[in-house]
Amino acid sequence: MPRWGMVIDLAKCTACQACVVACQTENNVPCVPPEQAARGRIISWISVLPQLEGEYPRLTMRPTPLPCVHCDNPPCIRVCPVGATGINPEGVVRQIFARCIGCRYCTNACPYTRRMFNWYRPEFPGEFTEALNPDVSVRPKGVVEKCTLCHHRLQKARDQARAQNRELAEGDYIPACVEICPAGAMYFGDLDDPNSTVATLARGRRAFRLLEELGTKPKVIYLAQGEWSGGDGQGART
Amino acid sequence: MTATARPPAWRATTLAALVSVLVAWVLLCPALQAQSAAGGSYFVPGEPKLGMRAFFDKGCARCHSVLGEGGRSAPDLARAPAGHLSSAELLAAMWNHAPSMWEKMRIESVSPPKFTEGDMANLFAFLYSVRSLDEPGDPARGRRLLEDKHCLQCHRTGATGGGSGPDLLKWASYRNPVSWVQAMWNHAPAMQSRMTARGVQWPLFEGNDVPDLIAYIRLLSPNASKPTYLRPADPQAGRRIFREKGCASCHAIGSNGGSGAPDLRSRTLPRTLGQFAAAMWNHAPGMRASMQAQNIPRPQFTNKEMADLIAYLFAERYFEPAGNVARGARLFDDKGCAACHRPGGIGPELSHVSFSPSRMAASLWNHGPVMFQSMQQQQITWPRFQPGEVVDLIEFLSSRTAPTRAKGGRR
Amino acid sequence: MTFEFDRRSFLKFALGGAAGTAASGVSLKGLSDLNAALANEQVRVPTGPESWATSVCTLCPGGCGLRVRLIGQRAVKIQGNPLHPVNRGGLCPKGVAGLQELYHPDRLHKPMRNAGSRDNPRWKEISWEEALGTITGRLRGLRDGGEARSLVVLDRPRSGLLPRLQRQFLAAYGSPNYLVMPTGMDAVQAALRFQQGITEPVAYDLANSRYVLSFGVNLLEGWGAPVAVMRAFARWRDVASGRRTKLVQVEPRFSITAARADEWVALRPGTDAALALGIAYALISEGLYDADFVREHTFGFEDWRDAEGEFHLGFKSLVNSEYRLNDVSAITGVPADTILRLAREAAQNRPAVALGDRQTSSLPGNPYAAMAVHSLNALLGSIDLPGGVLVQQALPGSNSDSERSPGSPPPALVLSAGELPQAILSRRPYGVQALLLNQADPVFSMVNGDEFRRALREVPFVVSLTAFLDDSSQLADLVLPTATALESWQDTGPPPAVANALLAISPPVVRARKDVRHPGDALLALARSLGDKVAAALPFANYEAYLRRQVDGVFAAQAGAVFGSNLEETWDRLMERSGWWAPSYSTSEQLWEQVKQQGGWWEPAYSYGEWARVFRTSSGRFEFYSQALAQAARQQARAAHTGGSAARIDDRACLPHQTVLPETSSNFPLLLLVVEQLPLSGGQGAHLPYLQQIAGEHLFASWDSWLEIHPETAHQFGIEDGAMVWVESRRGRVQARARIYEGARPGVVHLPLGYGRATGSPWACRGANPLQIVEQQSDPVTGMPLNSGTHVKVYRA
Repeated sequence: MPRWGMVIDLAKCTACQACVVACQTENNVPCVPPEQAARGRIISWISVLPQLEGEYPRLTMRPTPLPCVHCDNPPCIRVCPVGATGINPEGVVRQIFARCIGCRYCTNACPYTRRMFNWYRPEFPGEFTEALNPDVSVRPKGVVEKCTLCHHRLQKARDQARAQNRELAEGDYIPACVEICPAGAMYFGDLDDPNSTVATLARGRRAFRLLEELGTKPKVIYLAQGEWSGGDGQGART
Repeated sequence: MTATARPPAWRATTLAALVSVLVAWVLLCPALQAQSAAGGSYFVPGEPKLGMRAFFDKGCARCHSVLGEGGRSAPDLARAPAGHLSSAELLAAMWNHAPSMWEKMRIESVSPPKFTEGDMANLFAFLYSVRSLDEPGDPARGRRLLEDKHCLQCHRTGATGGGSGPDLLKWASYRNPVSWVQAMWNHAPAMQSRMTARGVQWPLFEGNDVPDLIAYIRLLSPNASKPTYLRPADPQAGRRIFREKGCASCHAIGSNGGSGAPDLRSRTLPRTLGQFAAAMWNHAPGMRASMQAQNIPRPQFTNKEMADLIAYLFAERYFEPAGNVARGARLFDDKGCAACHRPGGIGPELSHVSFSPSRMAASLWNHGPVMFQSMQQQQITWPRFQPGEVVDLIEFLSSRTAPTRAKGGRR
Repeated sequence: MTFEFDRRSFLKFALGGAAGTAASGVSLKGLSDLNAALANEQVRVPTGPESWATSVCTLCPGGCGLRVRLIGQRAVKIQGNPLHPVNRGGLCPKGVAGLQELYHPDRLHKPMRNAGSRDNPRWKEISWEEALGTITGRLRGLRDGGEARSLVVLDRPRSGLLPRLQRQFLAAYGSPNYLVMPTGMDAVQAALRFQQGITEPVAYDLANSRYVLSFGVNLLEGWGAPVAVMRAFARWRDVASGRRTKLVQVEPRFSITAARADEWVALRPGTDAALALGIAYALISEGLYDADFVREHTFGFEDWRDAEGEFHLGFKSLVNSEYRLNDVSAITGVPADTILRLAREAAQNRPAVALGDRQTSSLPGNPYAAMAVHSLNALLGSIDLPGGVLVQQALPGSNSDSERSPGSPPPALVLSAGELPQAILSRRPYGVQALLLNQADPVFSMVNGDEFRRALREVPFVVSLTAFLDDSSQLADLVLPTATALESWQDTGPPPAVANALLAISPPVVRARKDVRHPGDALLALARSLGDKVAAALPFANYEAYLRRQVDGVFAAQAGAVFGSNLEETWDRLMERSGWWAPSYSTSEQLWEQVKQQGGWWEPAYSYGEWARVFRTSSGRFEFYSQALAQAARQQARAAHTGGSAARIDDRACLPHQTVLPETSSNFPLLLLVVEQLPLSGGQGAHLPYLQQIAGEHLFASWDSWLEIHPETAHQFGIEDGAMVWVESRRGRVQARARIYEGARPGVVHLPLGYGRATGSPWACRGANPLQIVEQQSDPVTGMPLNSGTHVKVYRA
């Protein structure tokens, strides 16, 4: 049984936010009107947190793409009164939109603030409904939503593998954000397979997790960006 | 059909691989597309492009590079070893280095990849073809060569140079050294008389000389960006040319063909296509004298004919002449194989398998690490192969398979 | 039985355990059923079989390859085409958001004519026949009256074959006036013209560079081919490739690129030239420059004497006397040891490349600063080698004869689009009778947009080809709606800053949703109805046929490869390097089919070191001292001094130098620099909500313009975070919401590009257009624009 996880290499991330928009178009996430946006209610299952520090001219910014980190010990599932959210055997913290009653306890419980609420009825102006992905439900008003690791793609990949009489291979199932990243900074796979890319990277010395001290055991692992070490001073032409 | 020597048993099974391997620089669309490439009929087991994919996917490129593409911590397999390697010698080189490769992999926590025989055949096809490619030249060297070889005494390059030979800029768009040698070969007798008249020594081209010249000439031409490349060559056509142009009357390939001229399968002949063609040029005066003595008309070549001929000769060089079963049997004992690979021994008996270099290479990777570990535990040294030994060993191993095996030859 | 009540009341019931709920009680399934009943929104989701198609993105000049997922006939997702060598399956957020353009509520449906006046337009929908008929009539009239030259076409910057078609059209019609909107690359292109003598687009082999000095180039925010740059960036940071490439970002503001760079050098605005020349000084004085390259391939490094024996200053002397480290440090505000260290690092980590300078995509930087920066490339020997500055290769089969009028064509009206309004208003050298705007919106996108507004009113006949009504088309007589990317044939050439010859072609992915056409189809229809020479020059039924013909030229070149995987690219390149070519096609027809399927054709190998192609100056070398500039300076001096002999020119005008910056005044104490964010790069994209949501992420801002201001500066002028303010220059004022940003330099404020349209989608008509208040200087010698910021004052609204 695979345990799905993601690795994000902060050295390569260009903070372009292609992951944000790819996720939104893949998962039928509606845009919110400007007035709502001004109240901080933009829905994006993955966001890039700027993390700016310092004073001019000694400044650092560490843009960090942050999806739901699919904790192995998720605080959010414990507080749902109706069991609309839980963790499945493959480690995906799933959301059953139809059961959600909109109490938003889970939203408050998540230390990573990765859950979003549909405060208003989602709008698809013009013919935007034509662009909806039939594999993903459209959430109504009053429901909490969050990253599902594009679980619909896993189901599809499994169906295809079954039809071709073979096992699921690495790369068959890949979430939309990982797929689109122009810098190739995101990796996805089975953390329990010691030879998988994600498992190998997660063992590296640059690997770290966010808010590890809370004991949430997140399955999105980051690779620290490192530094330029001064080159090798050879000055040779390639 | 000469019957003086029978080709080794395993050749029959890889005959198809041979032809396609050598149409080596035939680049079909990937298996996804059904279309066939320009002209000719190319068949596809042992495809160099798939071999290239294996080279990268299996992780070879993590350490090794080919012509500069790939990792830096291990030798560039297109350039090292520097000499020509047949498929058997490729296997021997791989075999000899296997333990050090595995040791390095162990340190980096990388598990050695597994190969199917198809993977390995493709990989061999890829390595063989990429090793035959010439490096792009160095124009600065090329300029010096033009002077040192006295080309400019007769030839012009635009404004400078002599007037009795054609302007070399005419060929500025030709990027392939084989094309250049073909043009030069056709004119060799005329050039030779002029050179003797002027007391100029016959220029010899070694190493990357011809590509260096090409690189320099190309820069002088204002139209340098419109290149003329050579298309994939046809070894079948090349075989015909080898016979029809009379090469076979003097040259042997292995033990087939005439004597009195070098064996074109000799291991000492150069590794790349361009260098091989240049060797022809280097010997042109000698060949001319011999041909005149024996009343053989001196052949001329078109661009395509020269490419086809060289491709054919390289196809031949992929294989080694038949090994010696008795020698192989001795090797099997001397190298220590028989200690484990015998009835009742810890290793498999190896008598119901027919071998080829690529199959053995696949086994090397699939079973080798375990074998190596076992040998280390028993303090047995990993056997290393000298040039020529692998063929004998394979011949011996193949001879132990079912006796009704057909041993068809290629001719 | 159902009745309306909201979730809160339900919760009260459920928790209270009370009876009387309509549905099955408090079981989980019951909850699901109840929720489903409450969610009475019916959203129709497209159904149908799934398929995939190839296309090309047109939201920026990058031209990334797309794979589009279709459900039935509807496009539902845009992803990257892994076979396209520029983006290899990656995409920037604009490409992904492009789907919203196809289904946009504000798209134009049909051609329209203005039944009102220029000041009060009243749009009436008409048919294409009527529209094209009107245009044909006007153009015929002009031509018959001997005024063919007075037709001007203003195009947006694009690669591919459409520019060629337009030039052929105009050449056959009898007009030399094909103009393109300015781009941020113009200053660098000028530097290349002056120093290398070439007009081909510049290119950079960033993926193989080991050290990158970027002078204000927003590498990660939409410059060049954005995805290609991001892939190069990833390669720089790829641990497996061995060494890490250092990116040094030199600019006053802490942009995303500066944030992601290995080092950010915060210099005074407009002093890029001085810093570059300071680094040059360090390279020269420490003997770190590539002496072989300088000796063999450059001119004007040392002092020299011309044919008449006149002495001329060389680059080395200039730098040694005027750009010493302490002087440069004083000008730029960058410490002297930083300058020295950068020089040493660049020299020790080759190939090192310097890029710049630049303001934004529509505001080119300073050509003399660009020359100073490019001089570093010459000193480091980084011209035309892997990892350095390259020159874009021409597409095979491109024969530019057909783009010139036969005989001696009339002189062009102006040399650059920026000069067009003045020419129109002054009617010098001749008036403009007809103007065709091809997906170009100069009123919004150009600094002198207000001049364009006045000028458009003076042109008797204006036609705008556009997908959305915009500020310029508001002033047109006819508006012809263009198809969006997925609805028509797409073609692009190599994107900016990419060297390989390339032609990407893809068929339409979906049927057009409105009565729209590709501009190429419209022009070919026009050519047909004009008849005579124009029809003869363009005998193509439609744009597809035009593209098909060009592919013949590519086939004839007998080189290159159809788009394939990364491995195939490596293979093709290895083969061509060694003189072999093994294509996947054997006829032009096969090539065409493969191109349509896989996305395009390109030449994977670049021929390095072809000096005759790379240096086309009069000396045949890289010119530190530009003789072309000297000629321009002499002409200008002659024009200024009536009837004089060859006037003496200042050598410094022909060498890279730091231009004098306009002074601040107490009335306008702050400096405004316009900035560009990736989601709205090129000033395009504000009509797409997905992009509006993510622009301004570093400030958690969205949907409206903001003014970035340093906290101390804000405090000094009594501005609070979030307050609405006026930003006023000598030209006028605009409004924005002030946002405190530590990344803004004290005394420097920033407005983002792309907001503030007056006409078009309401989503795009929010915020302010900073170009309305930007002041642009003009170089006296070359007439080129010099952008070094605008002096403004900021006060509460």
